[in-house]
Amino acid sequence: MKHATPHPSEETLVRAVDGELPPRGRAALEAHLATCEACEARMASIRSSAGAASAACLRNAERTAPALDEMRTRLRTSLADRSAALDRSWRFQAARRIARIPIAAVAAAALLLLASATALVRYEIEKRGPAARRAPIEAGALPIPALTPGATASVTAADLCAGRGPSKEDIAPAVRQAVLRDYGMEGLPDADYELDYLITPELGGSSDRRNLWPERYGARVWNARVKDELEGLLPTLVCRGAVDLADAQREIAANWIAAYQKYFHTDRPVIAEARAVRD
Amino acid sequence: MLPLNPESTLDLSLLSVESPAAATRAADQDVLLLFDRHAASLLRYVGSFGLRADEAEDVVQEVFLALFRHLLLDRSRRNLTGWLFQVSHNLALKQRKRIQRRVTTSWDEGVDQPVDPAPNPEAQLSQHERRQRLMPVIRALPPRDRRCLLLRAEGLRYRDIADTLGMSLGGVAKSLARSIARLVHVDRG
Repeated sequence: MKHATPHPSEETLVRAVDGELPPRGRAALEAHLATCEACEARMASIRSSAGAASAACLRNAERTAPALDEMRTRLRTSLADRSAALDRSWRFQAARRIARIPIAAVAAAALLLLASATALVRYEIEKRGPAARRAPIEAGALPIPALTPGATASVTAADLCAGRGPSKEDIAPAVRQAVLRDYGMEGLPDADYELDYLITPELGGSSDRRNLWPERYGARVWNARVKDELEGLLPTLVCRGAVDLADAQREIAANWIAAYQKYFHTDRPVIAEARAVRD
Repeated sequence: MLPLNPESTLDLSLLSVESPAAATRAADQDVLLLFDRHAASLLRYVGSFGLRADEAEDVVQEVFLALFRHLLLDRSRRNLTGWLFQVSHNLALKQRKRIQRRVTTSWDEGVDQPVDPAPNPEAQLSQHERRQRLMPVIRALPPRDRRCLLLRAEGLRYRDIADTLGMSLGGVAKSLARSIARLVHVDRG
């Protein structure tokens, strides 16, 4: 059979297996694979052998697997020591700055005052504690439930974990248009948003209109990158049997931020990317 | 603790001092969370440099204390996974240089783990055979190609592999394609 496009290189196929092809390259490859069984087979054996090699690498290193719990305890102790030392020396430095005032008596009085002031400030900080650190949720960080309830392909956890889930295919232009129309965002420049899956394909989410929404890059705290973190964690938990697939799908669809807070045990993004950049 | 990082005391003037107690507490929590998520991978990776188990543990411990400092100084929080692997790579190299001994690693030895007892011995055996076929190929790869493969196995993106090993993105893709082509060839039997 004659093919419209040349056969992809080994490197292209490996990159495709690893999800490292740019969208255009992926589209071209999909087009070729649709008509070329040989390349389809090549890609399957790359996926299989590379997977087996990964498993072998991990297993080979397992023999040195030590007591992680013990290490964690040790780390916690070190961290607590360091935090306490920092805290002490910060208070010392603050006191010293004040104590540089020439008159000794004033200095002594100031020190006393400072001690109580520090205590008060510390009390305030502690009182505000977690609430003060809770990250606000910006408009647009969550989809509109009526428009984007989430949709899944019928696929089992076993399939997903074996890498047989729905692929993150290119979204059809008609679907894209429909979603943007739903959200009244047709006029918005492409650079302002990403058309994102609510339920990620790694959890069985489909490329259905009801599972897509335009996620604005404008969200600085609860943004697409934070959601990526959750999308990395949840499939792992599902495959490990720690979370039921249906529960994971339901929770990420209902409120991905709440799911993030639940599974990362935190009120704000662990990786506060938002603070650093948006690109 | 290993004397690996010269920057072991923190210059407090760099710290954002409005609320140091809150800052250290937040950094503490983040470090432990990241430990839970990455420590096993980092140990495997550091172990691949041929350090003894206790040395690898010390290196990884040092990495997370460096992370604590990094977070406290409010340096970039972008891509902390990549950061962790890079620092692990550097500290592992330093440690290996320090001990100055010819290291033998599980990657150099010709032995493999025994077969696990498992409900399906047949499948287990064929998995074992497949591993026996692939391991010599992995062991025979040039160190840099092998590291690319290991980091890929740990689930790193090409960008992070490139940064960890000081390679270009294209270099990583080529290295992996080369190694995987060999593996496919041998795997086919």
